[in-house]
This record gives sequence, C-alpha cells and structure tokens, in this order.
Amino acid sequence: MKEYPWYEVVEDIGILQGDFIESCPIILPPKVVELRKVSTDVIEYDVVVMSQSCDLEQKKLELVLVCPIWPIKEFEEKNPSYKNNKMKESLRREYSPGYHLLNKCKINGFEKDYLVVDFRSVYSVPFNFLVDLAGRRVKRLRLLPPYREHLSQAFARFFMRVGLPVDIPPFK
Amino acid sequence: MYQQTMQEVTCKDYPIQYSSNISSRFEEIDKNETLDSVLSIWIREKQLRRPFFYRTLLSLFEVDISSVRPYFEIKRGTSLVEEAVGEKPIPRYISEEDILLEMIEHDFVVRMPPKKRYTIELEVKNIIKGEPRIAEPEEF
Repeated sequence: MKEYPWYEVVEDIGILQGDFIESCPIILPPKVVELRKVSTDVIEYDVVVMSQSCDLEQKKLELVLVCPIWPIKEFEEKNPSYKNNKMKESLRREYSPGYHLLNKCKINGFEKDYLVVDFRSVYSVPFNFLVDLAGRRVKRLRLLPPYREHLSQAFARFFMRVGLPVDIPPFK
Repeated sequence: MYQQTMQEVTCKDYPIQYSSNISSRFEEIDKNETLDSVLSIWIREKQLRRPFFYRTLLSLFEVDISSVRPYFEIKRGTSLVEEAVGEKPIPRYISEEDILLEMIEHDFVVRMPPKKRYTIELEVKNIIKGEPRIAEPEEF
C-alpha cells in the first residue's frame, strides 16, 4: 500500500494551509485605543494555518486564520477526562466537533505527540507578519494532504453547526 | 373379504398391517410375501416392546401447538415496546462512556491557556476606518 505521510519539513517562504507556526504572538487589543502609548497583552500559541492554500498563494488575504494546537498530554492535564482512552477515541472519531486530532510526527528534530487543534480559538494574524515570522523560523512542519483537507473539513463541520432555539422534543 | 397384499403398500418401510388371522387363501401368497409378512409381524412386535420408537416418530411431523400454547415475545429491535413495559428505563444521566458507546456527538469545552503571556507597550500612531478589500475573482 502506498504510504501517505502526515507531515513534511519545509523551508518555503510562502505559507500554506496546514503549516505549523510555533510561538505565534497574538496581540490583544487594549480596552481603550487612543493616540498614545498603551500597554497591552500578547499571548503566544503554537498554531496551524487554517486559511485555504489557494487564497494564501494568490495573496488574496490580509489576515490569515490560525488555530492553536496542543500536545495531547497538555490537553489531558487541562481536562483529565481525556486521559481515558475512550475519550481520546471520541476525539479520534470526531465526536467532539470543537477539536481535531492530528497524528504523531516522527521526523527527526520535529518529533511531536498527538496534537489537538482547538477550533474554538480562531485568531487572525496579518498575512505579511505571518510570512515574516515563518521566514525567520527557517524550517517548519507542514501537514500534508489529505490530512490538511480533513482538518479543513472538520473546521467547516464545527463552524456550520446550527443550534435550534426550539428543538423537536425527543421521542421517549 | 378384502385381503391386503404387499403390492398395495406404496409407502416404503412402512410395516404392512397383516391380520393375525391367516385366511385359507394364504397359500396363494407367494414365498416372498410370506417372508414379508413374517418380517412385518416381527417388526410390529419389536415396536410394541419398545414404545420409545413411537416417540421418535413425532420428529417426522410438523406439530403446530400455537393454538393450545401461544408464544409471546417482545421484539428487541423495537425499544419503544421495552420502554412501554418498563423493562429498561431510560437513564437520566448519560455518562461519557455512554456517549462514546452511543456515538453521540458531544460538545465539551477545554479552555486551554496560552503558551505564553506577557505585556508590551505600544504606541498608537494612527486610527483609520477599515475599508473593504475586494479580492478579484479568478478569470473564467
């Protein structure tokens, strides 16, 4: 059977959907914005690029959508119920639409455990800023097809959900 | 009086019911028939000695006893029937395991803190109203 690797290491200048950017800074807007010096918070996440590759390649975006990623161990520490294999299995089966599980990476120098993508925390990062940041890091990990399309589809599934204010009562 | 002969028997292996009172015309029956007759008597006597043989015959027939012993069973595929008779009450609390087993999509939220957080000072030099940016569609 043909092998379909999950990841590759790239040095491209251009960024694509599925690229991993480590320690991506997100500037949180201050409470009041005035023409003066203000102090504001910056948070950093390891992120994966969610915007479509074609839009990125053709520079049709000023802002790039990114989602935080977490090693599964850290995710388990935050919610111990995920230490249970059954809960991890529910992640793998995509029963939890807010999260998406990515496979381990065994590439030398880029080893990673299973990763959880958090779809609830979507950030927009200026395109030029992200390209500069990626360029400074030289090498980065990239999620390969069809896994990145699978990631994109999972995000779409999460985003397109509709909660009904008055649902049909359950049949009991 | 009509006398049953071997030629009238059509069912294979079925013992021929000969009368114990052998008539004067018995001499007309050929030698083979005589042997059949003897054999038939022998089998019948053997059957009488072993009544168990008759019980095994029951398996040869299709017996429908539904009219005297009706059989009712709740269909397992229709849970509504089970619920109606109260055999399996619906649990109020659904555990995580149940969720997994029942393949229910769940919506747990795990609030992950940022990897790093720090404060910076920045100078706001300009405030402008955003303008729409139109991305040209692909050429058809």
